[in-house]
Amino acid sequence: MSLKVLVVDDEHDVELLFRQRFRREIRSGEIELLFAFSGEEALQLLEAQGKTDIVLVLSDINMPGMTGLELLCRIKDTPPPVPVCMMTAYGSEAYRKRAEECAADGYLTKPIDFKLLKDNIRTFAERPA
Amino acid sequence: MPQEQIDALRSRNMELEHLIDERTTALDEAHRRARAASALQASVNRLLAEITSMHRSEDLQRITPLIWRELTTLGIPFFRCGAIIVESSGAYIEVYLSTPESKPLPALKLNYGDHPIVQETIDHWQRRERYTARWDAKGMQDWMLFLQDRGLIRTPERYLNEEAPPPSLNLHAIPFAQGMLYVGCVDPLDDEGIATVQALADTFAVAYARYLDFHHLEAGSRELEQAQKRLEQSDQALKAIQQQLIHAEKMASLGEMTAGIAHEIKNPLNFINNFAEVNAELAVELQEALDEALPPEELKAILGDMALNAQQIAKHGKRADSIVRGMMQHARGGTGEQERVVLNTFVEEYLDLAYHGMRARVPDFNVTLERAFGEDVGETDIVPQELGRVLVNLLGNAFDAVYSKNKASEAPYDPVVRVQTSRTGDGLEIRIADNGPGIPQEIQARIFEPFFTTKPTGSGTGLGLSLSYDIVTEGHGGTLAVESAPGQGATFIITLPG
Repeated sequence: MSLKVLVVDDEHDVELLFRQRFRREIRSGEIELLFAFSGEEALQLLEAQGKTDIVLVLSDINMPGMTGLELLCRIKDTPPPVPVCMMTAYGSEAYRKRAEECAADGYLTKPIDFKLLKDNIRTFAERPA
Repeated sequence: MPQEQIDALRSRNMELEHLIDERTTALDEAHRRARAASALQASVNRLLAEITSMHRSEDLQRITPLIWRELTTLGIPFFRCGAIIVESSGAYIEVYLSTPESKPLPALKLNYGDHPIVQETIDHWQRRERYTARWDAKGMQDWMLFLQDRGLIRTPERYLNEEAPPPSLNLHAIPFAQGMLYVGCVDPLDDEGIATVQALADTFAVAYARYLDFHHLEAGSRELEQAQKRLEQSDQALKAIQQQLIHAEKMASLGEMTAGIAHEIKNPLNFINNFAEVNAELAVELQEALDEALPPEELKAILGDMALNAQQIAKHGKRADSIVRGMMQHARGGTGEQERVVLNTFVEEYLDLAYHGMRARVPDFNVTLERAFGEDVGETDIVPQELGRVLVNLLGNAFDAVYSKNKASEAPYDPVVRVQTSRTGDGLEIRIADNGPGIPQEIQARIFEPFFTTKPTGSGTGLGLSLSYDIVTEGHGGTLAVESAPGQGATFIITLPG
């Protein structure tokens, strides 16, 4: 059973990049990547999928419309608790603090260290539900 | 006729003759007096006429010899005459003497305590009393020595202009408003003479008063000239500073755009690095696949991915390139020439830039951007760096407005900035609207003034909107206006011809 990871970023090329970076894990079936290009789309997807299935939500912060931080708080507000990691180009203290306030499970700065990310995913997967 | 009667008649006759003589003498005297009075009046009238023709302080020099001449005309013989001007508190006097030929002697300045005669003169003047004195030859000598001693004159001979001094001198100082009119004669003046000098002294007072008035006026106008010069100088300095501030504002706006631009570049560079790394790994995989003699489909799959990645690298490389080119145009200030652009694309580009600039500056900034780009807007000619700066300025202000309102409000607030383009009857319109706090009427009137700002000191130069105004109106022949009311946000409207 694949570990489902939801990637949220308004830039479509991020999907291409992730699919390339995770090509082995995708081919082996270890990880399945889902993509949403806005906060709203992400919430809809989570509803449809059933949150329990998703091991990790990985979201960009700077998106037009609903920002990643808003998405984080929305997800955390409604149980069950899906782990959410923020991705961002801005490594600013203010963002980090805001992310902590809504109990983000991680804060990654771009460019993403994909090896680290893959380890994180496996760690989250091993957590008790 | 009896002898007594004849004697009585003779006596009577002699009395009558005597009386007639007396009366004749008195009449002659009266006539003389009348003539003298009218001569004096005529002198005074002549002097007053000259005085009214004064229009400069210098003109006093013209008047004073006339006064001395009148003295002579009126039959007052003098050795020396002149004006003694007393300092208003009585501290010193200035003495301007003249010969009967109207040759002026060097001026003297004497303090109250310098000599008893100075003291007497000043004391009498303060009481407005005439002062008369008599010098014998020794007195005159003493005076000359005193002046020499003080270094006020070189030699008595030179001071006296080679004239021999009279054996004795009668000094008369007649007071007028600002000092004493001095007449020094061989014989003392009689009452009539003194009255004549008094009349002339009072006339001189008029002339001197005019002199003082002109003197003050001229000093005043000199001061004015100097003040004007200083004003011109500070005006120039101010203009120079203004130029510096404008330059600083342009640099500041460039700095803001640079923050947004830097973020913009990080993005494509990210993709380039990532896709290049992935391709490097794929190249290794391909090598392994070849070594393991995997089937062609496998090899083709890897190569396909590599091709896609390479396309991505190229695509983001081009993006970075155009961003850098845009930034260089801004840094250079551009040629200032007009270029044809697709307006909607242009606006979108600067919207992104301003947005990212704001995000870089204020990490917890968020806003909903609404775009309403008219489909018929098409192309137009503009100076891109200049109009771009305007958009960044207006958008920056809109972002600041909603950000400040967001921070200030307790209630949930959805900050929105809306950018709209449309083609109107005679041109194009760009509207930038925010749902911030809005702008009060009094401020709207001044908002495009240079250096006017509602932000705290140190936060910006206050030149942004005035520069934007100039760029739109003078640079592009358009208009820039604001519509707003407190509590109802603000909309800035740019119209462009064509």
